[in-house]
Amino acid sequence: MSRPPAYVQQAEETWTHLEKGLEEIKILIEGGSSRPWELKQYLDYTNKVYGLVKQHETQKILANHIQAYIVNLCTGVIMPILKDLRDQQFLSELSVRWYRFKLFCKIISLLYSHLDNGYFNPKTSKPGEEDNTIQQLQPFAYTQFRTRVFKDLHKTSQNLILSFIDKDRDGEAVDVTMLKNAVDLFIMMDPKDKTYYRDLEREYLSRTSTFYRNMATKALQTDTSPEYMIKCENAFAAENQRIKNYMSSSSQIPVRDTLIVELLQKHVKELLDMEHSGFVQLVEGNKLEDLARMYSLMRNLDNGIGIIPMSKDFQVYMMSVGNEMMKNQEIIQKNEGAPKEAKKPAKDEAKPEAEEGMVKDEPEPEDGAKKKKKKKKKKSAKAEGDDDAAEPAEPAPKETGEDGAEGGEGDAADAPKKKKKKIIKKTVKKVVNETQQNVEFVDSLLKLYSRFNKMYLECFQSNKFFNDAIKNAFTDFLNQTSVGKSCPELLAIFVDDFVKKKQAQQVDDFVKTTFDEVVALLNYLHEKDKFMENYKTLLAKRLLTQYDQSTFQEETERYFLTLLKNQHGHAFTADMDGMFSDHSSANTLQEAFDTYVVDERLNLNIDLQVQIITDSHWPRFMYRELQLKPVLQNALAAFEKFYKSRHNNRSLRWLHSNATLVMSLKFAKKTCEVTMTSEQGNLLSEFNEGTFSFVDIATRLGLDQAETKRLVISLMNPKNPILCVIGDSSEETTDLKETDKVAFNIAHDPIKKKFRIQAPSVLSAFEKKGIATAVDELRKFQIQCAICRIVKAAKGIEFTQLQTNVLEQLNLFHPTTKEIKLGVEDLIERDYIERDAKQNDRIILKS
Amino acid sequence: MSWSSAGEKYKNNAKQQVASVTGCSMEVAERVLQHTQGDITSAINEYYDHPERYPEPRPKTPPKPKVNEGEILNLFKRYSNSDQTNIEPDGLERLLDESKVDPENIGVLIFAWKAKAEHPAEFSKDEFVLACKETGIDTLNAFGQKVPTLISFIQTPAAFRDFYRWSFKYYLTEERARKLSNETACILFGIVMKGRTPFYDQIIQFLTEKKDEVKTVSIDAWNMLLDFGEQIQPDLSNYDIPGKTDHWPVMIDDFVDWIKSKQ
Repeated sequence: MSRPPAYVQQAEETWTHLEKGLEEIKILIEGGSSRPWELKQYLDYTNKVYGLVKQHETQKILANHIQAYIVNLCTGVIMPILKDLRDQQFLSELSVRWYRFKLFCKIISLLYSHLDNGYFNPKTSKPGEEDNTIQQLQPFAYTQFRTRVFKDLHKTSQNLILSFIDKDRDGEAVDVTMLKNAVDLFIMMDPKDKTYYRDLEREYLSRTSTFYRNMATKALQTDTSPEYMIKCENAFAAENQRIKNYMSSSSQIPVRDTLIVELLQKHVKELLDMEHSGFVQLVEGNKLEDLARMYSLMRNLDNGIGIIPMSKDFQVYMMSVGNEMMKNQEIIQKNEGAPKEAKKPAKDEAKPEAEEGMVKDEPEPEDGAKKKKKKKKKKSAKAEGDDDAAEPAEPAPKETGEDGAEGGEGDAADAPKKKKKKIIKKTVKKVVNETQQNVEFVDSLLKLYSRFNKMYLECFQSNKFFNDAIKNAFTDFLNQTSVGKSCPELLAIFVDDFVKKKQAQQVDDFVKTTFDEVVALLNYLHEKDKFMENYKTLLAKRLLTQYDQSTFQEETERYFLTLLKNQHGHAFTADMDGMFSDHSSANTLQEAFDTYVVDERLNLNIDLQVQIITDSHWPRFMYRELQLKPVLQNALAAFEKFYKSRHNNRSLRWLHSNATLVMSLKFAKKTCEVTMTSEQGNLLSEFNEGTFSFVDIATRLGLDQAETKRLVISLMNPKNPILCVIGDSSEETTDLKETDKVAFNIAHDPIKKKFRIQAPSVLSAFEKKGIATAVDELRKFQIQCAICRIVKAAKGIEFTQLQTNVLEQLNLFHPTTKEIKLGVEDLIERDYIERDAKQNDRIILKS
Repeated sequence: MSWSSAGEKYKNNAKQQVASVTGCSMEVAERVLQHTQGDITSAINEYYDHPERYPEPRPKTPPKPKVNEGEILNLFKRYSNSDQTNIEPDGLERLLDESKVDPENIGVLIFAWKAKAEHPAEFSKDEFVLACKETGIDTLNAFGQKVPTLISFIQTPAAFRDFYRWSFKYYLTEERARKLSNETACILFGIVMKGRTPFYDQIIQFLTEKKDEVKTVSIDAWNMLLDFGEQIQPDLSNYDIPGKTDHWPVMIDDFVDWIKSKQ
């Protein structure tokens, strides 16, 4: 036996030291008492390693030793311990052992980095050397662990892990760290292909799937859908947490998919259609939280089986609610419509005399020629003139004037009057109710929209399918029925009512939300142009009758207009913009006029306020001739002269029907100054001459009966009854009848000396007709423009295509085929276009 | 199926269709159809692709017969007004009366068409002379004989179409009128379309019955009425094919609805 060379001996000696160091480290890892190494110790150790690695001869000795040490650690230390353990103890020990082993490997690969680099480094290894020497220490150690420890135990441990996961899922407390390390072992034993882990995962998924399949079946037998959905949500969270706790994050998606299939996909129909708590019931009950949960769960499924069926149901539900509302409104409208219908026949008789009763000897100034400008006047009756008082239709009675209305009062005894008052109250109430009902109806539509829109935004996360559902449903029921036809009008009335309210004084969130909803509803209407004309007419009324009041809420009005502009473009609101600018330029002009009056030393004896309005922007007005008193005539003439001096080529036309005037009314107890519209004043002065039914008045003034009734009622406000019904006392009546005699209510004692009578806010028949005509004309015009544009651009186009294109271009309303055909016919007639001689369904430009 | 072996009924129908679509004469239609072995669609294409191959035959009416212009002027003088500028309605009435021509005869209208007359029942000198030259009329006798035969001038579909369209404008009597009154349209239709459409009686009945709703007839409706009469099957089966034939004017739509409501 030959003595080994000296360097071998030395190496062996050094190894002994090194081995001791390794033992220390082991103890350290196991949590033994040793203090952590200091830097010096560490350097010392690596130096020793380096010393051996430096020489080729000792390198190999060191490598062999350390490898043997690792093998021994696996077979001699770890295996024997694990062998006798079972169940939790086993798994727990395995996971601890693995954890320590991993740590140990990490540390030695640091300590032996010289060896790794110098000896195991594949780059420096010579060809022909054995493969396993090439492996660096850590991989070598893992391989050893796998072949010597893991291979035999892996089935056992896999089953154990799974059974612990099952326990965890069942709610039992488990050692999460243990599981995490154990699973880590499965990953690290084959970090590249992860075959062990994938085995484990497969089994895990299959168990997950079974578990939730059972859970779903069981839960659905008893749960309502919200309860079930909460369970689903919890399941998703729990599984997610499980992955985070001990599984590889790569398992997250497969597990999720498993849950989706088992919990949702297999039960989606059952869930959505569940009796008493299905999707529709949740919508019906406004269960926002449950709906949001349902949406975010269903979002996981294909749109085709989750979201789309939901949005379809949503649409159907909205449609049924909407149609129901429309039906109710229809019934209300029918009931209201009936009495009006009955009165129609009588109407026409009074008509022939229209206007004539008004025109007296004095012709209206500036009534001829072309009217580029209209004019509307406001008068404050501060004049001191001494004219006769009871001039009919004269809008500016004087304070000193006798108001003959008292004449009519003499006959009216006190007793019957009281009875009558009740009736009046009822009557007035009814008229108010009509507007009120309309407003309430629109309000309920807005609420409906807001409710669904909220669901769309908050529960359905602005998913486009639900947006489409809202659009389809609202478009459908808003445009269908006969009530639908009046929707544009009702919407305009609603806006009118709304902007007059106190709440609308400032543009706050409430106002903004309401307007947004109005604009949204408007978008669903087919006949936006109808809304526009109604809105325009009502706006005109607001601008004119509230001119000198602070009640006109310009900021709010303008805000709404801006919304319309943003939504439908500049052309949509051009007229309204014009109206506003007329309105705002009034003050400047008024000041100029006042200065003019002073400069010219004119003595008008009257405060004349004039509002100039540009004809083309404003809706049609009723031109009515009025016999004017000299004082007023002078004032108007002065203004005309003044205006001509500024704008020579413009012509003026006075719009008496839209004037405001102040009348002094002599009640028994006091004389009051009352501001009202010229129409009201006109009507009121008739009562200087006695008592009349509204039919009489209509005949006397040459007005439409329904109009007159409306005006009479506007003067019968229960809070401030200027007129009252006298005569026979049939208390049953709720409506102002044709036979009811009306008189000036001289016994009335107003609270204030100066007050204003509300103008009737309902649109008059004339205004309604004006709106209808304007809509009609605009439509014809737009259709024909569109046809010309399209034909011109296409050079020639088949009718069917033309129709499609016209419908595409016009978004304010939906023209019917008939309307388009008539447009074509009209244009052919006027030689803009013609039919192709060879193909008569083809339209070409007229050459 | 070859053209020569086709049935007479089919031939006529096919010729009619080709002629009405392309506006060519029946003779030309026959030639084109021969070329395409009776296929109507390709015949139409063929006609449009190579119009030069199918010139219209010279109108059958032989070269304008020689007329004596002096005689024409004499004829004109006899019936014209005192200024001898125009033949006015009463002059025309005399002319028709003395030549024993029925005023309702379509020939009178064709005469006016040939005259390029502007106002109903009136002829300027130039108009009258032009028409006489075109039709070979120079005496009262010739007028009486030839006017009822003038129908030969409107035998080709193209000529008839021109005549038909002209008649609408001819009857627009009032200043700046663009539409015919229901009544006028009814009379005019009765004269010009007699025997030319299976819908003849129905259209007249429709116009008469609906005179309160259909107060006027636009030029488009009038022109399309001809197409309607020529193209639409008596059972209306090819009337309203969505996307293909829904281009008819409103009046014709109403007419069809009216027929359907009667059935």
